[in-house]
Amino acid sequence: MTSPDDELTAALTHTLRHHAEEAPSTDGLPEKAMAIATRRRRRRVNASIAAIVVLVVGVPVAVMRTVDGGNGTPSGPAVAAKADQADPGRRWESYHGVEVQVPEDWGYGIFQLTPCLSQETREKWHAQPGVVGRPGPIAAVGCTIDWRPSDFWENWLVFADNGKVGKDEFEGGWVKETRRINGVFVSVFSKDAALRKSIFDTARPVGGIDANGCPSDHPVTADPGSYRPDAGGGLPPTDTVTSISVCRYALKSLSTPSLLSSGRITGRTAEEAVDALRSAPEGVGPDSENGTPGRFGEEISVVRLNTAGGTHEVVVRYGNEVGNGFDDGTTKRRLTADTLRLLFSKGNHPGTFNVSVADLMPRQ
Amino acid sequence: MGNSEDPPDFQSWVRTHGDALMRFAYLVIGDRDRAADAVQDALVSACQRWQRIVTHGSPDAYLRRCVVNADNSRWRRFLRRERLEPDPTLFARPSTTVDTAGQVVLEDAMWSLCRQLPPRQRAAIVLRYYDDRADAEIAAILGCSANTVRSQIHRGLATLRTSIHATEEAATP
Repeated sequence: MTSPDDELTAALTHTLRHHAEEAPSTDGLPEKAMAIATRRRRRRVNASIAAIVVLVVGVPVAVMRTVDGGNGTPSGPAVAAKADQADPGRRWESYHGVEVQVPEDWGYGIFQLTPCLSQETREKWHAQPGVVGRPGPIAAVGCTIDWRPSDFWENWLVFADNGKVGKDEFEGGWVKETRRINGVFVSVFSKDAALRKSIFDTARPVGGIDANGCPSDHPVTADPGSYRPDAGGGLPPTDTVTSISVCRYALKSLSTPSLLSSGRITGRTAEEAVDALRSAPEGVGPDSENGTPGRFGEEISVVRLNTAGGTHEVVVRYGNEVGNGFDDGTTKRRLTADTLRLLFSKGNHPGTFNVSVADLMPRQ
Repeated sequence: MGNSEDPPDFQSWVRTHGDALMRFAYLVIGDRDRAADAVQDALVSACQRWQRIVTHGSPDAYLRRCVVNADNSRWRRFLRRERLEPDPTLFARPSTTVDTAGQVVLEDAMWSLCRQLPPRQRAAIVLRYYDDRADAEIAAILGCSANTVRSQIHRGLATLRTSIHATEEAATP
């Protein structure tokens, strides 16, 4: 004897099995899915390049910020890089006058304040414990509407110029916690409350030079076309350079101070970078054909070569229509792919650059 | 030459499991075109991150969940507009399991009623009574607890039972 429920579920199973046979065919589906994925990837890359071109080429520069000279003492032996070690297994990340420690093995992502950040915005979606994101011109590109299952979410930290302070709770115990620190909205997304707390516990405002050795503001942002570092005899000998601080500055952001990101390079990579700088050909460029002098793009970088005797600066211009290159105060050199790769990988990858230098930029 | 323990590549997996995924999508979504679209969207997303998915070990659960989520977010409004009402007179006809014609009628009515269930209830019921999966597996796919799965199935069956009784009564002279 069967119960009414047994009859119901038996009929249900029979119905579902019967109708399942009406499902569409999957012939050719894997090939089609792969073709669509390839096309979408190509479209995302094209959109990213388009965004860069619009921002760098299409907007005349208007630098209106006044630089706080007290914070922006940039070069020469008088300013030694502050050696502020991160806790073991951590590294410092800096943005607009705030710095915070994140786990050393976290990668970098693209700004997006949704849990899809680390899954959809990268062509290569490989396992990583977390990512750090900053606003940039690629922000609106690449994050599709579908959310991945929470099993595939990753930890992330995002800096933003605006936002909402508080906690948002998601399924599976995931929490996005946002705090406002020195005017910057810092969000940490994780289901590990202790991890979130440990990250926020390290967050602090940067008054002058951050832990990676970058001033939070720099006079180059007020005069991006003609500012030159103190000459100081040009590049120091390679074997005297103990580390390199790579500092990216915003030229048009309304948020101050203007430091967008910072990083510190040491060891063999630092030596190779100094050698690559020295071997770059003298001159300027690459520049846009028929480019207009005085159009500088969205950002500029300063590379600080730290030695026992002081700091030597090199300005790196890559957003100009005319006048791109390295300038150590004595010699101007052309940008080279090797040098850019050694200096601007990972978190310091330029958010925008002129299309004329695109071929030289390292891939993210 | 690939090791037999190597995780399957994307194309091999779809060739082996794609039909089952499509049948699942069709049963959950209830429309051939939209099921095909949902499966295609899920596969496009999955192939871009295939290594990561197989590293986690369950492309099958991942893709089913993508289909269910797509159904939740994208198809629900559409289905709400196009909801099919079962013909009450179907239940007034002979419906014993020994009557083939009656069985077909019952299945058609049951199919129509299934399509009226909320998406997650429908997904839970398909996973249980078509895929024959345990609560824990269903919970992993739907991203909820096993208790929630049991609750969804219980409510879904209760809705079906109530609807059948109500339509039977309405159709009985």
